[in-house]
Amino acid sequence: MLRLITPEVAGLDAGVRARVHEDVVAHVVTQIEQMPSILALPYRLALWAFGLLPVLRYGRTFLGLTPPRQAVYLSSWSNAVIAPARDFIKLIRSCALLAYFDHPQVCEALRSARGESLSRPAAALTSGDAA
Amino acid sequence: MSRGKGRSVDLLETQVLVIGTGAGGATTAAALVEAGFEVLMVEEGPGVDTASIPSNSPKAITSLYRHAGLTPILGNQNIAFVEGCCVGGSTEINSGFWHRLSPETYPRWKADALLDAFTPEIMEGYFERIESDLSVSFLGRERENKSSAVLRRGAERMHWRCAEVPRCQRDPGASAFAPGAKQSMQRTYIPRALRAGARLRADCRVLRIEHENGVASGARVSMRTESRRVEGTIRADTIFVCAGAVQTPALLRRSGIRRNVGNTLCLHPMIKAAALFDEEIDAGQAALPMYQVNEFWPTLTLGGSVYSPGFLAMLLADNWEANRDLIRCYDRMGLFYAATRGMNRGRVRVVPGFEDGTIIRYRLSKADCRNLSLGLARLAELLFAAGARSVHPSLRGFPALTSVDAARGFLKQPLPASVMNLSTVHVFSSCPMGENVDFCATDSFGKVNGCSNLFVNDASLLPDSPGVNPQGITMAIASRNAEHFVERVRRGPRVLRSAASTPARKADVLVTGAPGWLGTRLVQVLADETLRRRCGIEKDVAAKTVRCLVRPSIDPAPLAGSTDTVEVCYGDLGDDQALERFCNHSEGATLFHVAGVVHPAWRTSDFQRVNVEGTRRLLEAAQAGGVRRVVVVSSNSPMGCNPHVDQLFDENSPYHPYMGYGRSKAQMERLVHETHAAGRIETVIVRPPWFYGPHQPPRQTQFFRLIRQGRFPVLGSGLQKRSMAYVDNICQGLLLAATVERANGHTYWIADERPYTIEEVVETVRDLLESRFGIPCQQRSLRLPSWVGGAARLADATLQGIGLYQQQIHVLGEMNQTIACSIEKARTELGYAPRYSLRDGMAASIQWCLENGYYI
Repeated sequence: MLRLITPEVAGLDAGVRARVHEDVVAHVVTQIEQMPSILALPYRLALWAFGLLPVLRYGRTFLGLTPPRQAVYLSSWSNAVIAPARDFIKLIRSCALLAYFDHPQVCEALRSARGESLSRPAAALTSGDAA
Repeated sequence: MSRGKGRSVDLLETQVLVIGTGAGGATTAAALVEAGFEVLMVEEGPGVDTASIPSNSPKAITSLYRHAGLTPILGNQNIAFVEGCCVGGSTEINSGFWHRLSPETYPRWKADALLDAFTPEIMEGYFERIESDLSVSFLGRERENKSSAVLRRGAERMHWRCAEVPRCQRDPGASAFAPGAKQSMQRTYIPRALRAGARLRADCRVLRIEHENGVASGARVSMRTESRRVEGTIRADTIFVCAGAVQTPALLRRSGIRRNVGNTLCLHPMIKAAALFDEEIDAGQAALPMYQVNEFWPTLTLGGSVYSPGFLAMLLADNWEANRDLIRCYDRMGLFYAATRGMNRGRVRVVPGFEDGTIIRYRLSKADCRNLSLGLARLAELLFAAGARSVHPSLRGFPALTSVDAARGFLKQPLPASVMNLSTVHVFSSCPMGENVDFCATDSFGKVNGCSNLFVNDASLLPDSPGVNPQGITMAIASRNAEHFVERVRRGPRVLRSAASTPARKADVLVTGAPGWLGTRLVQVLADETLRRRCGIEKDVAAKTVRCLVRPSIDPAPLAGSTDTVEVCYGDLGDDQALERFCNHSEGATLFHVAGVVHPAWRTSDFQRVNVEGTRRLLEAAQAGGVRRVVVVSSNSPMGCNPHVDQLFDENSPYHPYMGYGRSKAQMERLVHETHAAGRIETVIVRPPWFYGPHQPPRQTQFFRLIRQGRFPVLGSGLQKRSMAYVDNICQGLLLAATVERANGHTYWIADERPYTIEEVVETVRDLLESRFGIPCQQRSLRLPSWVGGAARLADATLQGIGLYQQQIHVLGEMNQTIACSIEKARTELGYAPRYSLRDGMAASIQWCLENGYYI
């Protein structure tokens, strides 16, 4: 799931990215473990439901889905009508993005790609921003 | 009010326990230890050196933030709340911004909370002193970073007020905000307290405060030792709860202290936006912004926010699919916020059964949504004026703003709460201080209402939102309250604390049971000639030294006001060494034995242990110490109840003890008679019935409250009679018993002039509440048939038969009985002439409740 959430960053090779992902996973797990005990239980239930519910539609758990189907399934939760489902994904996504983009090696890769970024006008990046 | 009497291991003992090491706790601890108190600080979080952890990094979040930053405030839209949970508290993770309290807030707090001794003239001195301690300073325009310059530029172009906010920073030249440069509590007040001798225990979670009858005796804690976690009790004479605006009310509520606690939480909801510029603004390098836009204060504050690629990604996560590419131009982006003063009040509650079952609730009001929409519109206007290409508000499902007109749309149509992604770092006002007993949880100096030695001293005390970062205000208030506490104790009695502190002065009068209800008043009367005259004592019975036996867990402050006269000897009736110390050097003195158990917390064995065995020990110590006369306070209970309403007990009435308490007092009286018969000491027994007056315990305040609410139970006709005794009338009787020679060996009933019917008592109180104090009352009582009293008596007897006690059942069991006495013997032999009628006494009693913050 975290691989779907965290985007590729230019200059980050596969091996480094895998190590970064391990750190991100460790960070997210630590955060969830430290949640207030009264919220941790429903959150774990939601995690469990998120992993198993694809069985009803695709006949496989989330981990057994192909990456495109995982992305579609993830998107269906993050845009769900039910607020707790959206909040569930939002929390994991936020924790993961923070840990990922503040990871020293990702920051280094971003700095390396800085020249390319500077060469692009800002307007080019804002044109397709509509959600 | 009673909690936590289970079996417990005493882990530590201290004079003052400070719970929490943040802005309030560290300030309190430093002030008290420097004033000579023995101070122990406990902190739930770890003792991590924050100088070694980059501020706001993922590592900081998991190791320094409570719940790793995942604390939601629940409501119509959840708000992310972050606070520190480490030594130093939130001062280790905040931006170190410093604000004084605005002048317009003082009169508002005075009017709303009836806050005493809180004026700019008083508070400015505290602000100045702390600002010097924390090196509060400005960076100055010459050190302005690019992202801050963008904000200033936008404000200038909009002609809005914008100013640099000073920060607690040792060296303004040391980069933007180098780790360790911020003058957090770890760098300032905590080391200062430790240098002065305070102790600090990190990884020590306080589970609840142990307290009984308005006196806190310690804190039940779970503490990490070298190898494992242990649970036990830290004993303390005084407790300061400084755990922040969420954890403080949660702890008090867990401990059963709920009056006005956790009902009035205020916060500053904050909404953020990212802005993309053509120029490189290096927001990540600048680390922390400098300016705030105050044009719309106090409703709104605009400013720059902490920035890193991770924080930017978190904000963009609201619309991640559309915004993910923006990360690549992180060096041309900045994060900014609009914060508003929340217009609603939230609640802090605890769910039983969970180790950390704290629930914070805050419902965004329509005004909040309107203000946040306005804030977002103004922020976007400013950013576009500063040259932003696009503004990306933290709103679910909303497109980026690419023009000022799009931003102004929020002015026309306020955003719904459900789309806002909100956070807050400023919470306060969950235990407001002041003299408004309908609203405040503490008095004007943080003393928890209804508790003599329990204080709150953190941001919880602020009566409402100050509209700015509350660290400076919290520290100034904590400093003021700690200073007031020190003064209060210094004005108080001399304390003989340890076994080594043998009395140097000879005592004329010894008193047990102070600072209890009657004991405190007796000491005051002994020390004050005016009070003695008011009680009707014309003879000069002034005592040079009044020595009081005070249980170690009890705050002797109520005995204050007579420094030269009163001294305190810590100990209790079960401690032979303490009794020996108490009675030492008291040849020829008079001992007033007022202490006793009337309503035990749970077990009836306390009656025997304290009332009988304790008295036996005390009499032995008194004889050994050379005490001349012992005046022992007994009760009506050894005589039981009158057979009919017109019969009065006198001193010749036979013993017919009522339940366990009556039996213990009868045994005590026999013990006193035996001691007198041995001829080594003079004895007098005084029997006051149901008494009332200043320094009353919570049960008596509840009596007034039940009458006000129309819920006081009147059983049967209400014509059954009760003799009652106003405390000053009893004091007159006690002093006469101590000084009249012929009283030796006798027993006296001491009460008001005549018995009253229950109806008369209720009517008198109701009339006083309404006519003299303007407190509206229900014009009814809870009428119950007489047999309810009989049933309660049966239940009481059954419970006591198996060694258990329940106060309400016991009291209800007596409510249909007549318990009345004649004071004729005291009148004739002692010259006793009660000065106070029921009406006068009850009026003084109600007045005392109101003056001391007790809710009626």
